[in-house]
Amino acid sequence: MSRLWCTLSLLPLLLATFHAPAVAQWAGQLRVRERVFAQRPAGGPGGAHEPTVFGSARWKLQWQHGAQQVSLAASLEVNPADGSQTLFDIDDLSWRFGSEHVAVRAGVGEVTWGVTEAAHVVDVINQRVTGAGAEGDIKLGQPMVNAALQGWWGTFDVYLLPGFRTRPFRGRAGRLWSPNPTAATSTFDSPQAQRHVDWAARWAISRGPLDIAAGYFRGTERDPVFSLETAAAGAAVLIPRYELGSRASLDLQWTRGPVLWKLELVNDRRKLGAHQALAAGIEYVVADYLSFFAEYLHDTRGPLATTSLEHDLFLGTRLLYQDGQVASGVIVDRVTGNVMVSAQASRRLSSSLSLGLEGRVFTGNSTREPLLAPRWDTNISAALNWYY
Amino acid sequence: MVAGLMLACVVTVSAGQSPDDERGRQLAADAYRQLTGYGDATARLTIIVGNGRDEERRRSVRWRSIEPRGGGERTLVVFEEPRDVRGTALLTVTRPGAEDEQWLYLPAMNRVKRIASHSRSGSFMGTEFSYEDIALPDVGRYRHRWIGEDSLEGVAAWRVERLALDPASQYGRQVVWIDRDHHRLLRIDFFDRNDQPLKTLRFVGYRLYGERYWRPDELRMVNHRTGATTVIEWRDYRFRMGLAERDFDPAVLARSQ
Repeated sequence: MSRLWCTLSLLPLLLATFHAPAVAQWAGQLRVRERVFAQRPAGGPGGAHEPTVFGSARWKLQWQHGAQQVSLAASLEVNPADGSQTLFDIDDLSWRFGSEHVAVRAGVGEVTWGVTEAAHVVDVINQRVTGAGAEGDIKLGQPMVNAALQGWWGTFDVYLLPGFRTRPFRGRAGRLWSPNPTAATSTFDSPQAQRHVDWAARWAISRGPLDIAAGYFRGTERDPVFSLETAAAGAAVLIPRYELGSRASLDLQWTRGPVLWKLELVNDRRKLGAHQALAAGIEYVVADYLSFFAEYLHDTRGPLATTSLEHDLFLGTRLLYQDGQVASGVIVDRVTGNVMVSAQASRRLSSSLSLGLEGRVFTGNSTREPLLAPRWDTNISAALNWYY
Repeated sequence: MVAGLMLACVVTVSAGQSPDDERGRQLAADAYRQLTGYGDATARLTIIVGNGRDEERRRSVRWRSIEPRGGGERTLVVFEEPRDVRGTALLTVTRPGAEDEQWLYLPAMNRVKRIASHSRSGSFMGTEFSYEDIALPDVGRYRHRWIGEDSLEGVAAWRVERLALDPASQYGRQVVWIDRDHHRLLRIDFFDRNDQPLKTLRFVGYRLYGERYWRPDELRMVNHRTGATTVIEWRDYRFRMGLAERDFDPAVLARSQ
């Protein structure tokens, strides 16, 4: 650890060292998407179709042969049909330094923990926007100071996480959200509310066929619980509440030949008790371009879980071809019998242009799973992506 | 040192074989030595895949490789084009006598993923090269035989026939042209298990780097069955850049991109 503190105290000096030429890089994406729904909205908001425009830009500057880096990434999604759905986020605004055994990062950034396909039950650093469509959940940039130590024993990361970000209930004016209005203000277990400083640590190692990691988190949990209250006007409103808790997690993958075994476990301890969550499954690689997935997800809270994947089976497949990929999956809830089928295809039109198609079909009854409500809307969409 | 030990093994194993076998094996060992012992290297690659008609696809990647202390090789490929996969990184760890290990970094998800190691006959990034073709031609993987001399575009060469010992190899025999003066690989003809010509690989435009490492500007592969082609152009080759082994660690993959 003394080496780490030594490095930290040298930060201002290191920042001033431009020995080697600095290298800057730009990249970005622009996407136009049109989504069409199978049914007209039943009394809720939104229309029969929803166009969206998404843009992102990424810039980074490296010097000292990449030992130091500053980076900035931001994204913006606009729904022209409904001005209230604009989502802007700074995904990355950070300075990084890496040396032989120590790496430090300070600023806003994204971190992903986990190995499974359908969901990462161990992932905890960033707040997420749920119900965001085929890309899965979008993450919000998290302010952090992160130090990593590396040695023969693996990598040990420590994260200090000041500044909590609440979950944006995106699309509550549009189709992919529940008809119940959500309050703009949240409540917190911690008296410091969003100023509570959280922390996390993780140890990870790769040895032969095994990739294993153990993580710990202590602070304000990212997923809110809701209480239903009556607003002044007499309408029901959902109030998000963010609880204090601690999470201990384990994730591992065993890779041998064409079979990948994956496991994620978490023990989550909160004021009202502890619960456990699990994601486990296999990936079978038939050929370099074709994979099949089978996973099971479980959360001991059952119907009180803050995820819709509380006792669900996921089966999926992915086919890669020269200019794109086709992926499909089905999620079956073992208890409610609800089924979601999804399929996506993408094709590269040129080096900088690609076309994406996606469809989602739901069968069952959404009232058995209120958390699925935001996505419970059979739809197809087409998107044109331009990369620069 | 490692090469020396391997040579010692080679000599022991090949004792009792015909002089042509021994000579072929010796030439293959010389060619192998020419390709190893570089420490670390970086380059820019352009991969041009033609389908035998008039369509062409281009990919460009940054390539880095290191020979770790324990032997084997660690290679990191970072995509630059096509742009939708820009920043995607593929780390391959090759250890002597073990299955390759591979990790993929996906920038859009900011996630490092351990992937199943490729089958040796599988296509390398959708090209006419298989992983078997791009692996270092380790002497212990083949049985060799010297079959004669030849001249390729004015360069005097030996012809060596080799048979892969791996039963999973897609090839029957392969004929390798090795240049007499510098032990550089000049051409490889690949035959299928029925001894029909399958592919030809040509090494074009050799240059000498650091007064020691001969490397070609282009690898040109033609598939005789389909007419499909792949050209890999190597640019900005640099050797002994002082790369660190830690830069080729899956834990660093997400951090360093």
